[in-house]
Amino acid sequence: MDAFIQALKRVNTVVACFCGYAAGALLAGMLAVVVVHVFFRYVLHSGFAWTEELSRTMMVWMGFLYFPTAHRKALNVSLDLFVAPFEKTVVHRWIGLIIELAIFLLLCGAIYYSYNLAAGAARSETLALRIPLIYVYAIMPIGFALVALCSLERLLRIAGNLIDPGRYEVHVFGSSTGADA
Amino acid sequence: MAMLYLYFFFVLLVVGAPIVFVMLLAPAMALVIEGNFRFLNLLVQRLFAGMDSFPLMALPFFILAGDLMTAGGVTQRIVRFAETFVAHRRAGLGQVSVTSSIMLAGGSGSAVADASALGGVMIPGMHQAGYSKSFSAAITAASAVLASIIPPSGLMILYAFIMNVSVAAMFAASIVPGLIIGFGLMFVVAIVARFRSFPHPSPRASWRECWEAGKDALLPMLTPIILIGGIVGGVFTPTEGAAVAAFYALLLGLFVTREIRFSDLPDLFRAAALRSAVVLLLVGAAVAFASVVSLKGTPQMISGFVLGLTEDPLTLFFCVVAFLFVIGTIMDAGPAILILGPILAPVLTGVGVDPIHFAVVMCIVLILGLITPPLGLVLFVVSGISGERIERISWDLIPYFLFEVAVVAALVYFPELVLWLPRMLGYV
Repeated sequence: MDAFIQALKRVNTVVACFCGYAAGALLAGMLAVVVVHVFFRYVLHSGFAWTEELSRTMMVWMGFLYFPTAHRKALNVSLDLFVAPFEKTVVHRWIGLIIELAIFLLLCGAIYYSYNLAAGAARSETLALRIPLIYVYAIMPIGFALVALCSLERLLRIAGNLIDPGRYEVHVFGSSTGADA
Repeated sequence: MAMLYLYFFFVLLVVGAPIVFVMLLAPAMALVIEGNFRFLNLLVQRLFAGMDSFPLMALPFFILAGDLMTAGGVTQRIVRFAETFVAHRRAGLGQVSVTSSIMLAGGSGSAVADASALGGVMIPGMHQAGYSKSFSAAITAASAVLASIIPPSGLMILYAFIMNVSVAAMFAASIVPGLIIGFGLMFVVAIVARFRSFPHPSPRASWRECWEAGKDALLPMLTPIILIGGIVGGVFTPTEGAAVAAFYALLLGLFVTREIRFSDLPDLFRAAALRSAVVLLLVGAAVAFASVVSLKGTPQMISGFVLGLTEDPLTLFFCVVAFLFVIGTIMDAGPAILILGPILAPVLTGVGVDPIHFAVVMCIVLILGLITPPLGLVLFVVSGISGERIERISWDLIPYFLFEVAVVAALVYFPELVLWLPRMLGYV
């Protein structure tokens, strides 16, 4: 199991690194597109139809690209107040395992349904850019699949810790400070 | 059976599952048990639709603008400017902390980010000047909430998006409550200073010092004017305003303050993208969850139950506020708004409460939850910076928190405090 976890770790690390730079670049791109939109609309009094659609698509891609990192680093906010007293106990690890298993199954279902959605949109085009809608929706199955890989790594680590406590490093529950207020 | 998803929701929430997954798992599990497989497709569609929104784009831009302002050294310049006005008063640095928060609030949109940026400058400075760590941390926390109340506010954008109300109206409606809390906190600091001993204040700044500090702070201070003036005045949309503010903060940091180097940009954009992604996914999941809430008729059910207890709008409003205060102590404001907004707002608007009035009060109450233990994110930040225990900071926070609670009560009782400005501007 060790070798499989290490292989998953390497894949997830490379994916997280690539996705991080891609998401940062998409945010910069969104900013550039909207600033151009504002400049043309308010200074030159002529607008583009495609700026809103392009920036929205970039935002959705940015969100899904960082989904795996957010899950892997347990940055998604959670209410761990009630389970915190059980930390480092077997109960805590079992709860963690059940939650991660449920998340993994959810992600598998999400891959199936989002793939169907993307495939169903293959022949449609976006309104302004006139690009196939599948390019917009494709990020969903891709994003869910990448999160599922991270979830699988976390699942195996938590399961490994049930057999041999403290063997693998894993943050079982999400952060209570994940979402920025 | 119709409420099965709510049982799953509470169980998953209590056992500590990440909220973004709770909002997808609970309805998915209920739909599978009920055999409604075709609605699973709806969950995925709504998740995507929730993230695919131009108005929502204001959030990543505000997060980016806040990060760029912090990295560009705006905080230090504003603190220096505030010092020239109020540092000579009793508990002068406490007054500087509140004044700086009021000024910074117009450019940032996050209490946690402000507590971190301002606390990093003010708390060590106040401690060095002889103020106790607990007081320094408490006043920083009490005033940091202004960043999420005075526009632009990330939480108000979240609420406006999930409940389909006007962001500009919410921004206009939160200006007066934000200023009441800000100036009121300065008054409370002055009263506390009469009963506690604080270090001697610094001498009054000369006109020349005021001019020098003002010159440095002038360009950063234009950010809120561009933002709030542009959005509330109807010149541009919140998303456009946020993008302009982020771009302006970028130019300021690169070419005016010169504290941001081009080589810093990849890391700054990545950090802002990560924090934005976490919020965007939460919003997408909340929209999916809200569609099931609506599908199952949950607001009507809760409305029927609550109206069976009382039909008096004011009593009901105060009960909901008390409930939200409790929720705010254990849950982060963002998820609480996303989960409870679609459930509670129809109940209150159903008995005649104005949607903008309720929206602003709900956001402020949950924002105040950021400074209450056991789960107060702003408290955690100032505790981390000051190295002081949460209990001691909380003790020093009491007068400021009680004042803020009193303001909330006044906002509930006198709706015009919230609705006057949006009404003047034609939003209500």
